[in-house]
Amino acid sequence: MEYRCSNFWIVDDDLSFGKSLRRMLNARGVAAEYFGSAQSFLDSVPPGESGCAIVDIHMPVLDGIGLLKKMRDLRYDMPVIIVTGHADNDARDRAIQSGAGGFLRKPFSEESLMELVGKLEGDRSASQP
Amino acid sequence: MLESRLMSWVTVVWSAVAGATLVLGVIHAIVWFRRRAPRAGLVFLFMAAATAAMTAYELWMMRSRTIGEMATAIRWYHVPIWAVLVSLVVFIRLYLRAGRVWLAWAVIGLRTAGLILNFLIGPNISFREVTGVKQVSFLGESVSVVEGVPNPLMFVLQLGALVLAVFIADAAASAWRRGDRRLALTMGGGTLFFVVGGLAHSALVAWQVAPRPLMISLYFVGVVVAMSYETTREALRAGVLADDLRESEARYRSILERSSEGIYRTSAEGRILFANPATAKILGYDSPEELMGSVTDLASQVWADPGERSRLIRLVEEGGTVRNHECRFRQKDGTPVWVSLSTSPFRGPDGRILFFDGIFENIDERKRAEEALQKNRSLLEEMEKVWNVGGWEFDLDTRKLTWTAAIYDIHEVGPSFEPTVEKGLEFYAPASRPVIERLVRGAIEHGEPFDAELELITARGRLRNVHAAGRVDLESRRVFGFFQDITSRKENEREMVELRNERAHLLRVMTVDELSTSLAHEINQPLGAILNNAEAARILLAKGPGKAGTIPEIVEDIIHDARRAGDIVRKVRRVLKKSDVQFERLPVNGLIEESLEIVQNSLALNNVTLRTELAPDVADIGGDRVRLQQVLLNLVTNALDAMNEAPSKVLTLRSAMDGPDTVTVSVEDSGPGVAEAYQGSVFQPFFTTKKGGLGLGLSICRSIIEEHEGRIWQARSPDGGAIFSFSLKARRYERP
Repeated sequence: MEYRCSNFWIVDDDLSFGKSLRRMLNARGVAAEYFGSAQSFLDSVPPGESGCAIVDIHMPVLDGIGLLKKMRDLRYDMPVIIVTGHADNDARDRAIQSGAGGFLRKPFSEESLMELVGKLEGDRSASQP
Repeated sequence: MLESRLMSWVTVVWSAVAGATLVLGVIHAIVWFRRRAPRAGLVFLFMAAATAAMTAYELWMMRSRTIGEMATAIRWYHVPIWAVLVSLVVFIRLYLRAGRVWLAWAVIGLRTAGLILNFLIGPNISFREVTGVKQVSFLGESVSVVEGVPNPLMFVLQLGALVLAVFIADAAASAWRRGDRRLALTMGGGTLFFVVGGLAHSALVAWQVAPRPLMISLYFVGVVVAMSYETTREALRAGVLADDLRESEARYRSILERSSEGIYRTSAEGRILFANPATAKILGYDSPEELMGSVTDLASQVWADPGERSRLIRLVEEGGTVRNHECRFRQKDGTPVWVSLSTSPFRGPDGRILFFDGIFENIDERKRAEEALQKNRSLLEEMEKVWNVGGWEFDLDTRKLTWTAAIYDIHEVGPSFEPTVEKGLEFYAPASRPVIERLVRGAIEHGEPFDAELELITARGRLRNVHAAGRVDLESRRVFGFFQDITSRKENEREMVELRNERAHLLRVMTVDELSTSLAHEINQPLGAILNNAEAARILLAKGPGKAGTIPEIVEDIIHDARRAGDIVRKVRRVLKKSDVQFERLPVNGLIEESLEIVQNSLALNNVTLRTELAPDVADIGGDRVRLQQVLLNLVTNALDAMNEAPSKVLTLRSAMDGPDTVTVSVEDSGPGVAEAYQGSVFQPFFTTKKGGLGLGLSICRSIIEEHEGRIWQARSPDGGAIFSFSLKARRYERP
């Protein structure tokens, strides 16, 4: 079965960034939903859901890396793209080590996101038995 | 000779009597002529003249030598007697306002009939025949007396006299009963006495009982005097009354003329019937005459608003007197003038208003003062509102505290709140209460002024900063002052302090690179959102006009995020801005030591050996402690980074005097040094050799040093490491 990012879950404490990303994806004809915190995402989206998560690394209470680990524990089966506005160097490493499917620095273009998504779909479908 | 001497007595007496009665008559006539009022005066004149005539005939009789002469004299003598008696009747009717009319007519009829008979029969009515003229001694002189046969027709006259006596007695009695007792006695009793006496005398002579000269006039002089006495008294009383009247009129006139209030009487039709000088003056006329002459229609000429007069008249018609009605009159030249008017109507017997009496005063000045006061008050209120400032006053004697509206607002209490010192103090926050209590006590008990910034908790529980000041005025026995809500100013101040602390904190704990890294994150958020939105818009636009409906909303969001990014930049600039630099006198070595304390841990962690070569005589400099520390920290951090892979890590900090006015500080590392190619660009912005750096650190350091009018440069150490130095002007004395 080929894996497809047919829909997106956006988790970011920055409201205007989250909303703008959803708007951009919707414009492309892709379904996207926005959550202001990790907890509200966990409360609304059960582990069985499909799709692809775009998670900001810097969030109060439960940050992006924490959410990633929690999703792994709760057996969510969806790729997670970690995004950050920070310039810190080790963020990418920490994200990848924690099991993120991809990493993007804000601001990122639509092409770079889609390129990353395309790569994730390829990876996933390739790794499928 | 002897005879003429004796004759003179009778002549003197009778002439005197005639003269006196004539004088009295003339006086009364003059009074009557001038006053025209009591007709009795004219009657009195008539009677006095008749009495005088009577004396003349008596004299004639007393000097008659022949029987014919005597008879003629007696005949004519009856004419004045008739006149006297008739006028007496009339006088009593008029003066006593009493006496039966039929009796009066009876007297007049009988006496008139007698007078007619007197001229128709015999020599006269007294004697059927005069038989002789006898000389008798009278008043020591010889006078003629009549001798003759009495005429029986005399009874007509005597009956008339009797009826006259009855008439007088009756009139006197009714006057007495009426209460005019004195009048009844003098007029009634007096005249009756003399009338009866006189007539009895004449009867005796006529009936030849006593050979005497006829001298009724003397009795009638008594009547005239009695009457004169009464009328004079009356005139006197009238005179006194007139004097009183004149006096009170003068008094009222003086009040009217001196009054500063306008007093007037106006007709219902709108003319001025009377006006005092103040009325004219208030209305701008020279005199009341000019005013009354020129005003023919009050409503249009005196009232500023012509309709106002009829409104006032309606008020008067409904409620009678109107008091202190404030309205505007128009002066002669058209200038309006405010007056306060009281007026009441005067009604005729049919209830219709005939005229209005009124009094008014000029209240123009008061009105102007009121207007000015009102203006002042509203200005004050506006000022209070805009500046959140109020005034208060405490009366030292009554212990009463007064607040203006703004103070109520600051305390958040309603207008029904009654302030007292004790209640006022309860509003203060615990920390401020002892302070204000001490200040207020000092002001009230010792007259000390105060001025303090305090914290207050309003009736609704809000914390407010207030500026309260008071001053004592012992002359008016009060403490007064102002009270201002300075919460927002305090908040600003707090914000400034917080900002400064935040900045100091930021600069202390972060390197400039770290600062720029976090700045980058803050800006990347809105930039990311802007990019996303722009992409969305581009996609939607590419799909055609049908999908472009949300574009305006997207553009709004883009603008919002762009602004947000701008705000972040502004905020950072504010943190670092030049005007915020706090210049102070700083010991250079102290500054270096403070900075080293902050990096001590890093030095130990990186196994860096620290060397300090601080000159003890180095002068103080003037500058911003935090920013100069920032420069030092940045240079030290750079040095540590540069020595990251060096075999020996030695950090050297130096301070020295470079000439008398310049202090130099340098940071030397034992790293590889700055590559030849980069020597010229290390202070350029965005130049960096570090992986995560933005390349702003040294550029900011240069800005800071240049702000301090100093210089920063880089050199190579003898060992090949880098030396970063800066120099600042020495500051030996406080700046003026």
